[in-house]
Parts: sequence; structure tokens; C-alpha cells
Amino acid sequence: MQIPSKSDISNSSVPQSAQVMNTTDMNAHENDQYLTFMMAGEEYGVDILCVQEIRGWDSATPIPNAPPHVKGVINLRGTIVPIIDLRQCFNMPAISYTPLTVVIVLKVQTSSGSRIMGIVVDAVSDVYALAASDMRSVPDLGNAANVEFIRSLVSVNDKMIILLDIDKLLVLDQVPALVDGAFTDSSISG
Amino acid sequence: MAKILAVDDSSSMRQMVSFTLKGAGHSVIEAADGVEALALAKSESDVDLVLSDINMPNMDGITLIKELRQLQAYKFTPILMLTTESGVDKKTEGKAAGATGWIVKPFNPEQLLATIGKVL
Amino acid sequence: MSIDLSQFHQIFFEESFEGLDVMETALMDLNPEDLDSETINTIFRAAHSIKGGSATFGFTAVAEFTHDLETILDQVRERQRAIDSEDVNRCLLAVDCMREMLSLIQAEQPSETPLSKSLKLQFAEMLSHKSQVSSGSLVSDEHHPSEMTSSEHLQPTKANRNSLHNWNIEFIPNLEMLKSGNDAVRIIRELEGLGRLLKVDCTADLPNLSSLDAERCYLRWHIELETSAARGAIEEIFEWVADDCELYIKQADSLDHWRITFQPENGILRTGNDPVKMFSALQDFGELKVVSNLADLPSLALMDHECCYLKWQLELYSNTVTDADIRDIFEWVEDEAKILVENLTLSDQTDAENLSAVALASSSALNDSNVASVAAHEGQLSALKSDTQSSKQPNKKSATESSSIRVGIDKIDNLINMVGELVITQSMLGQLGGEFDLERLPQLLAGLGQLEQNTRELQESVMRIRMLPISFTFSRFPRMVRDLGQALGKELHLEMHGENTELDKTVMEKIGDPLVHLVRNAIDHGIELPSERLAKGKSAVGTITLNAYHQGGNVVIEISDDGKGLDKDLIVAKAIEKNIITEVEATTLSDEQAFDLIFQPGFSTAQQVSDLSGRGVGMDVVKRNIQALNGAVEITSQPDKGSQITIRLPLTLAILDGQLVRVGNNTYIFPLVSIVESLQCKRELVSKVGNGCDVFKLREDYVPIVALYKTFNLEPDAQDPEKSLLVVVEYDGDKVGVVVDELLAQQQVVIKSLEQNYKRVEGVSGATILGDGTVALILDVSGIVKLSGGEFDSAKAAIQRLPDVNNLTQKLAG
Repeated sequence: MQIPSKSDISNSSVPQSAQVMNTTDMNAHENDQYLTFMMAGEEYGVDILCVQEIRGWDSATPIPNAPPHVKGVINLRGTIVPIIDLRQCFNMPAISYTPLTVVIVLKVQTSSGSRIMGIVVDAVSDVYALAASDMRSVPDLGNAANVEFIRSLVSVNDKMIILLDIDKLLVLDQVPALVDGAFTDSSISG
Repeated sequence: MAKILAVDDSSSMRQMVSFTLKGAGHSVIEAADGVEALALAKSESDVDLVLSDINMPNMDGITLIKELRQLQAYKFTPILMLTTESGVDKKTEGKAAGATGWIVKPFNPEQLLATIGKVL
Repeated sequence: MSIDLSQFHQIFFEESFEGLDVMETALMDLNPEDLDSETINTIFRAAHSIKGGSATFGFTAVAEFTHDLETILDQVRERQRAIDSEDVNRCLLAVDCMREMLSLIQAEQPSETPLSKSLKLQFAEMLSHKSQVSSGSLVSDEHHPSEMTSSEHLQPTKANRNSLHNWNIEFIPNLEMLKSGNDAVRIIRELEGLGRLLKVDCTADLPNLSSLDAERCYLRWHIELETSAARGAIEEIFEWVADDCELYIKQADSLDHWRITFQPENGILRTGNDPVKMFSALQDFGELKVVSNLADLPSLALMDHECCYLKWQLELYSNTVTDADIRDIFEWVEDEAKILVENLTLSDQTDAENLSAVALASSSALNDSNVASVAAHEGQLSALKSDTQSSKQPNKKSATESSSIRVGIDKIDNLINMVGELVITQSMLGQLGGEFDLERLPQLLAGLGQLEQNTRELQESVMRIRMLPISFTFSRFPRMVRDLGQALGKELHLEMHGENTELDKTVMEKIGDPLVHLVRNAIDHGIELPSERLAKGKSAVGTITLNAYHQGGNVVIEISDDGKGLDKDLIVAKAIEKNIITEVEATTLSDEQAFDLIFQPGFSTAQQVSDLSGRGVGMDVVKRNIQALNGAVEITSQPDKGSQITIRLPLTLAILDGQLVRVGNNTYIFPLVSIVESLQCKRELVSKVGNGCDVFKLREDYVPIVALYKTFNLEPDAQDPEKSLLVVVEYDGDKVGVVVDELLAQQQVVIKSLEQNYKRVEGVSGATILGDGTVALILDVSGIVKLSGGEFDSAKAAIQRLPDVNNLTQKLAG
């Protein structure tokens, strides 16, 4: 498969066959649904099956000596859930949280059970049904920090959506900091 | 349908016996040893059949049978021993104590029902 | 009816494992020289139950394995076999083996193991030695030599008699038949018209003369007719009396005719066997004619209504029944009755009569005696029995037992009560909330107070469900002590106290291995050899004592021995050799500090490494495991008096008594058990030692200070110690002062896992949810100390360098 160049993406020459749908439209069952959210003007998508809930930002209890992108832990109906700031993960400039700041709670099955994590994003955008055939592999975006979390790219209505790899996201909070990237033994277990 | 007192210190056996009997429409009361069974037998006088294990703590089945036979209400009640083939002597001993008959372990539910049919 | 037996498997496994524990304990109590019959009975019973169950549930390998063991135990029990301590060991091995086999079955794996095969051979070997004694009695029991069995019945072979058939007719008129105007003689004469009457037997059922009623018919007939007429023709003759008699018409040459002479002893009813039941079982095979013989009936005055005076002659017409079937029915009364079974089918009538006359001296009495109907006897029986149709519901014990934890019914009842109260409080509060105004505030507060109490009680009750007596863990030690004693040639006595002390199931599971290690150590390194002990003037038998009790919110477990105690010099020398401490440090060690060295990684004082312990791993692992349970361990020892290890554990892992503290905007929780005291941090008591780290003079002691705001990189209210509080906590036997901004409330907190969705955080053992729904972290003191790392160590080292402080510490420790 030919990897589209950076210019391909910017001038929207990617085939526009991706079907746009409402959140209530259930016809496109062959396609996976993705929840998209905005961060610094870019639209990102995660598999909707992994989304447990969406909630407003509420203060988290900081964890001592945690990396800056780990905002702390919150009480999600009796379960302790870590919250990470995706902007900081992706080395984007941090913005101050407002009551409109959104936390997407993700739940993913792992070999040792399910793990829950909240990610702080700017705003929730939409839900799309996307066909696997429309997804493109990740071009070299020149940003070493966040490219590893991107599963693929897809274009919808002239927009570029970056689909994130949830499994990789879930180990984000395990990483002491993105730059040094050193995984400790216990960090892999989750 | 009959009311049956099942006595066995092994709760799995007891459950199996009880389940089988209930499945056949009988009502079952359970005891885990002779002492418990005797107390239960005294408080429940309308028992139609007693099924008792022989080897049990506190009071064994033989003693239980002897004790039961002392009770007016159990003078003629059928009492079947649940024995194993190694308890050959026990059959004689149990008979002497007043047992009605025996069922040889291991038995399956069908065999159990067939055997109690002989006395009910 | 088909029943799935697998539903009983789980409970079978549980009770079998319990049975094995019981067996193991009893085996260890067993003194081969002086067998206690109750003990051996207990052992036998356990094996017996496991065998019975495994056979029933189809675990053949286990059943077969247990069979020989059971036989041996039975012989021991019956004093037919002596056992020695080696046999006891073999039985213990068998216990292990059965455990393994059952576990394998649970894991759905083949259950035969090399051990099981070898043991089975050994048991078979044992049995073959003593088999002469027991096999004789076994054989005689299986095949009871009886004159009854020697009378062989004649095999029926069916003869073709062309169109002629033999018919057996049993004609039993009612007492009142004569009143219907029918005459038996007429009927018989009519029958004769159909063919040839081979036999007409008339039996009189005569009552006592005094009660004889001339209008009644006391006679009954057995008629054998040879005719070519069809059944219908015969029946027609009896048409008029059909309602006034019992009538059995059988084609004799197509059915086997069995005669069963049944002469029970008087006491047969006391066995619960009811002849009527047996007869009705016979009836299932075909037509049955029952003739009761009242010859032995005593006079009324002498009659014991519990005795059976009747004897019977039964005629069974069946083409399906076999001799074995009939004997089966009478199996239970073989010893209480004379039973003669004859097949008369093909034998000449006179032959049969001769045979019965020979076999039964009293058979002639049957014919000319008073004969009563079976029905009368049945009435006698049912009158004696209480009503069987009572519909009273029986008390039944709950059959549903959980697969993982057994909870006393009292605990559940308690819980239900609590929930009941909670519901009441809830509805009260709900009502209050529905129409609330400020005037009702006191009521609301009272209601909330009640809710709080309900909740606390409910929580306690729920926690209690998880509590199990520590005997679950202690129970493994008798066996272990015994085995170790034998292996090491040491004489040991194990004492256990407080086995009923309850402990959370999870804590129990996790403390098992550390305890095993400690007990092993005590036996291996603590207790001396008997000769050595005698030389010291001690009893040859060394004593290991396990003790458990509750103290505050903790469970304390003590493991003590009366052995040689810890050798301080040896420990110190070893610690220097292993570079755990320096020689300089060694000179200043207190006993307590020296003993504590054995908990250091890589430390072992065993002169000779045995396969039991002393591998140099262990004590540090033990300590770490105990600390992981929020527990603490300490050791005391006196030369030649012995050592004692004391373990303190929280009652449960799920709930913690916490002290809330504040640092800046953050709330943290100290486990209350770890806090020694908390006090105002006075500047004059803080001194800097070495590399800028602080120590605090706590009375005559110096404790290193750790500032939480530094360790956790927080923004405190004030960095000035003067304005801070010092929480003195215990850590590895040392004290540490932790600087915080403020002490908040003390409260019980429910421990939540941080690792479930995140990861382990150094200095934090878990999290909890506070009343306002926010998360607070629970502090792990050892982690905090580790985090402050060099700072703490240098402070500690600095303290030891201060000569005056050393003296003080030593004085305190001494």
C-alpha cells in the first residue's frame, strides 16, 4: 500500500468514500463506529466499543511523582480510575480545564482483565461509521511523540480523522514520561 | 409420598440421596450423624423410612438403629442401611440391631429408588 | 429418572478435603502401640466416606485407591491387624496422595499418580499378609451356607400339551359370599364340566370356635383344571360371584409355579421388614396366592402385638421370575426366616408335595390349621404405624453451600437483621426528604446518625463473613512438625492456642506460607537435637508454640520455640561477612537490632544448609510478605531459652483504620496501626545531621524526619517545621517522623486498588473514597522511606554515629 505523502493529506485527495452517519443510524453495521473528539483543532477517533462514558472534567486526586500527563485518579462509582491529559501526552500545549472540558472514559480488555482510564480532550465531536477499507496507514507526520498512538487515518467529508490505537493509549499512564519512555516491569502488566 | 429421614455424615451423599428422593416426590429430612438423626426422629414422629449410613461420628448407624427401635414410633419403621461391600459384617450387625435391609454403596439414584420401593 | 450427579461433585470435593484434614490430624494423634479406638474410627470413617463418595460419583481411581486403605484401617479398627509407625507414615502419604488425586480430578486430569500406584501396591502387599484372617470370614458372609439354598428348584421346560391346558384357579370367596346364595360346590361341579379336575384343595380359614359364624364362608379353594376350554369359559362360571370373591385364573402350563414357604421368626417386624411389602414385590412378577398359617398364634393374653406369629405359603405364578429374583426380595430377612423356594411347574404334584413335606416339618400344619388372611395382618401393621400420609413439612437443612466459603448461619442472620434496619432507616429518611423543612433538621440529623450506625454495623457484619478461624492455617502444622521432627531426628511437641481467632480469608491465605517458613525455621534452627537438649538440662522434647489472639484491630500470631535461641555474635559476624553491616556498626548493635538482621536479604546463619530452610532466602521474604499485608513482624530471643516471633496483622485487607492527614491541598491516610504518636514539630528538637537531613529528638531517642511534601513533590502550607506536625510512625522496627501540615479525622476506610487500573505507586499502598466522593491515597511508610532514599539512610547512619544516642538506643533496647 502506498503511503500518502503529507501533501496528499493536506489537499484532501484521499478518496471520500467514507460514509457519514448520525449517531442513531444503525444501518452501517458492517462498519465500525468511532467516537471522535477535538484536540488543538484536529479530530481524533476512538473505537466506540471502548468508550464507557463521557463526563465533564472534575478534579482528580494527584498521584505523587507521576508524570505530568497523569492528572491523577478519580472515583468512578467506587472504582479508582486514572485520568490522563491527551494534549500533554502528544506534546501539545496544555490548556486550562474548564467545566466544558471533557473526559472520555475508555475500557479495554487486556490479558489480565479489563482496564479503565479516562482521557482529557478538548471536546467531543461526532460518531462515524467507518469502513476498514477507507483507512490509510499512518504517514510520517514528523511528530515522533504521537505517531505511535495512531492506528490509521481516514477522511470524512473533506475532514481528516486520526484514529487512535486504544491499546497503546492504555499504557500511556504507565509510562513515566513520553520522552524517556522507560517501561518498568509493573507497567506492562496492565 | 413418603417422608424419609436420610442420615449420612457425608454431605455429598446426603445431598445426592435427598435430591433423588425429592425428585421422586418424597419429603426428606437430613441428619449428619446418629445423634442428630435420633433427635430429629424424636421430633418428627411421622417418618416412613430411615436411610442411614453406618460409619458416622458421634453415634454410628448401628447404635442409631438400636435407639430408633426403642422408640414406639419407630418400632416397625423400615430402616435401610447404606453400606459398602467392606461392611459385610455390618449387615449382620445391623440386622441384629433391627435394620430392615440395606443398600450397597455405591448406588445410583435409580437403584436407590428401586430399593426403597421395596419397603414403601 | 435421570439425575446429573456432577452437581454434587463440588460438595464431595470439599468434604473430602476436609475429611483428609481430619484423617491427617487423627493419624498424627495415633499411637501405634496403644491404639485409641475413637481415633482409629475417625480415620476409618474419613477413608470410608471418601471411598463411598468417589465410588458413587464415578471417581473410580480414587475409590480403588481408597478401598485397600479402608480395608486395612477396618482391620486395624477391628483389632485384626497391628500397625507400626511406618504404616502410619504410609497412611499419611496416602492422605497426601488422595489430596493430589482429588485435585487432579478437579482439574479434570487423570488422577492416577506414580505415588498412588506405588502406595496401592504397598497396601495390596500389606493386605496379602493378613488375608487369611479376614478372607475366611468374608467368604462365609458372602455365601451364607444355608439349608435353604441347597434345595434346588427344578428348571421349567415347557411342554406342549396340544389343545389341552392346565389351569390353576385360586378361588377365595368373601366371608359373605354365601349370603349371595352362591354355592362353591356348584361352581366346582361346573368347572368339572369343562374338563378334568386334577386337584381340588380346600383350605379352611376358620376362626376360633367361639366366634365362628355358620353363615360365613371360611373356605378357599385351589383348583387345578385340565381343559381345552378357553379362559372366558372358566371366567363365565365365576361370573355371579365375581364381586364376592378373589379369583385368580392362571394357565399353569405356561407359567412357572413357584411355591415359597416363608416362616419368619417372631421378631421380624422389629427389623422394619414388612412381609406384606415383600409379598407385593412378589406380586409384581405375577399372580400371587398368599396363605397365612396361624398355627403358632399364641393365646390372646400371651400375644405380643410386636411379634409376628404368622407363617406363609406363597404360590407365585409367573413366567418371568427367577429363583434369584425371589431370593432378592427376601434377602434382608434370610437370617430371620426360614425360606424355601420351589419351582413346581413341571414336577409331578405328588413329588412337589413330598418335597415340601420333607423340607418343612411343619408344612402339614398349613392345611389343617386356622388360616387368616393377609389382609388382617396388614391391618395390624398399619394400625401400629403412624399415619404415613401426613403432609407436615419437615425441617430441612439448607443444602446450598457456597463453593468457596462456609459461613455460619448466625452470621447470615445477623446480616439480614442489619439490612432490615437499614431498610427502615432508609424509608424513614425517604419520608423525611419528601416533605422536608428546616424545622425537621434535628430529625434528619438523627436519621443520618442512625444510617451511619446501620452502615457501620452492616459493614462489620459483612466483614465478619470473610472471617475464618485461624485453625484453617494452623491445621497444617501438626503434620508438618511431625514430619520435620522425623526427618531431623528431633523430638517435638506442638502446642497451639487461640485456633478460633478469626482472620480475614485473604489475610489467612497470604499468611500461610510465611508461617510455614517461620515454624520450619524454629524447628530447623531453633530446637536442638535431643542429646544436645538433655546435655543442657532441658527436656529432650522441644516445644513449638503457636498462639493467636486479637489485640485492638489486629491479629497477633506468635511462634515460639524453647530451643537454643538466636546467637547474636554469630548473626553479627555473618552480617559483616555478607556486607550487610560494617564492623563499626556491629559494635553498636542492640540485641533487637542484631536479631532484626536475620530479616535482611541474603542472610542465613545455618551452619549447614538443609533442604528445609536456611537457604538464605526466606526471612526477608517472610518480612516482606507480612509488610505487604500491612502487618509487622518482630523477634525476641534468649540464649538457650528460645525465640519468639510476633506477627501483627490487620484483621482484614479490605478495611483500614486510617488517620487522615493534610499536606497542602492533598489528603493522605496513614494506617492507624503504624502511628506511634503525633506531635508538634519543635524547632529546637530538630537537628541537622550530615547531608542536610533532619533528625528529631523524641525524648531520649532520635528519629529521622521525612517531609512528605518533599518526598511527594507537593506544595505545603509551610516549609517551616515549627508550623508542621510530626507523625511518628513505625517502620521495620525503626521510628520515622513524617512531616505533614495537619492532622484530620480518624476513620475507617475501605481500601481500593490503585493497581487495578493504574499501577503500583511507590509510597502509596492503595486508595480510598472519602465521604465527599473524592479519592484519597493511603500511605505506605516503607515506600516513603524508600523514596526519601539517601536522605533517610544518611540520617539513620548519622544517628548511629552519635555516641550518646547509641548508648541511649541500646539502653532502650536492653
